[in-house]
Amino acid sequence: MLNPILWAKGIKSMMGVPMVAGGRVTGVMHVGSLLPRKFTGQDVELLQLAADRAAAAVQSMAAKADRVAVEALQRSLVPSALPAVAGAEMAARYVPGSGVVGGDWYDVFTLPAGELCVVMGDVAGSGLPGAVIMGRMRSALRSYALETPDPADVLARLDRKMQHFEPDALATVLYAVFEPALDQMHVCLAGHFPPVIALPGQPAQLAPIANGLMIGVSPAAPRQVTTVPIPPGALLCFYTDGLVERPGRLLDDGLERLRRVVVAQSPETACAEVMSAMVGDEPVRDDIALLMMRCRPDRADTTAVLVPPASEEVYADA
Amino acid sequence: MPDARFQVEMVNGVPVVAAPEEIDISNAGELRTALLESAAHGPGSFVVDLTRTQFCDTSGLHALVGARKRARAKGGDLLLVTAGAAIPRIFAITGLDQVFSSFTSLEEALAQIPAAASGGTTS
Repeated sequence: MLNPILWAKGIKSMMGVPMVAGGRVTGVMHVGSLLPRKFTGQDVELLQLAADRAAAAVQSMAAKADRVAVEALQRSLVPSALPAVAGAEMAARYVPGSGVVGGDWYDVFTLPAGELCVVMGDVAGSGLPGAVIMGRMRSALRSYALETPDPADVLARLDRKMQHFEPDALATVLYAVFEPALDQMHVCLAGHFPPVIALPGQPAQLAPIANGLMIGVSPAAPRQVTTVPIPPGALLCFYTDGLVERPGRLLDDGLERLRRVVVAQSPETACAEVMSAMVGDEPVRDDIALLMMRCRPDRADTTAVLVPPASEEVYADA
Repeated sequence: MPDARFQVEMVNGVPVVAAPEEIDISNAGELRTALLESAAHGPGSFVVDLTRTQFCDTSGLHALVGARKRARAKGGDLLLVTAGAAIPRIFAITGLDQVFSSFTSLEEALAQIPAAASGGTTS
């Protein structure tokens, strides 16, 4: 425990006390004397006071450094600019939680054949470990997206990869592949909330999409793809749970509030209105990621209907 | 001892973890501790009583999924008791209702665990 350099310097007597922060010993504070000395109980108490303060300061610095690193990592993982795609308007918001930075992410990219892909994800766990897992999931999903056009296949591969290499990871993921014409999307949900879809001049609804098991729970979880037609001018709202979940409030109330506030309009305005209505100026504990997309607004048709409406029960009953 | 908010009680020789009204990042660590403690005692299977719980975020689900995996790897299981709509709703959205065995009463859950069903010792 004692560094030989100290003895070489001529230290004759030494005492040490633990530096404890957050219930863990983070270091030992030593005081040495060049003359032989017997330390008293009072000396130990005084040094312990100093060590407690130093431990708290060190912990605070470490936490700050960790937070800065996570924020930098997270910023590098959400797109700095959304891709420009003819016929699609997009806007996004990302709000890190007030407590510890968590693992929400979103991604938008195109495939070589012209499909537009949207990913929303929420990794359980926070701080640097959560952000690192999020980064791995994001890049793995992009790789699988290039290999197979089937969203269910992409999420099944992602699940297999996570369960093998990160067996403790747990995440919800939404993966949607839009046809190049932007007239329909193929969506696979892994424990994630379905998007809200608003047609021009009509009340919004939760898109009727079959749900599926979260990533990281069970090998060979069945994965299902739901194809959702997107009438011209429809606005799609993708989000993470932080937007609709609040302690002390029913989840369905949060979803209903969101449904009421989403209106087919410019994505930028829609983002602002949803953030204002759902979050306002209250501090957010959990991360929030929000992505709005409006398809083919130039051909908006207020008489369009979302078919098949009957399949709504797929989700409502789930 | 885990935080008092996650009390672990032995019922017919089976550990039963009573969860509070809300489980989120602020107490998910304590849930994890209570689950690890429960796994260390009893017959390998144990119960989490979510009857009072109205809110459970991803960090709470993470603790439950991890504990279930560990229990099953040792031949046991983690059973849930739920009441009301809030928890079944979040389990339906996350698909976890397909993997967790969930019951509406503690007696029903305990009846699934052989050591409890055969009348183990009560502590």
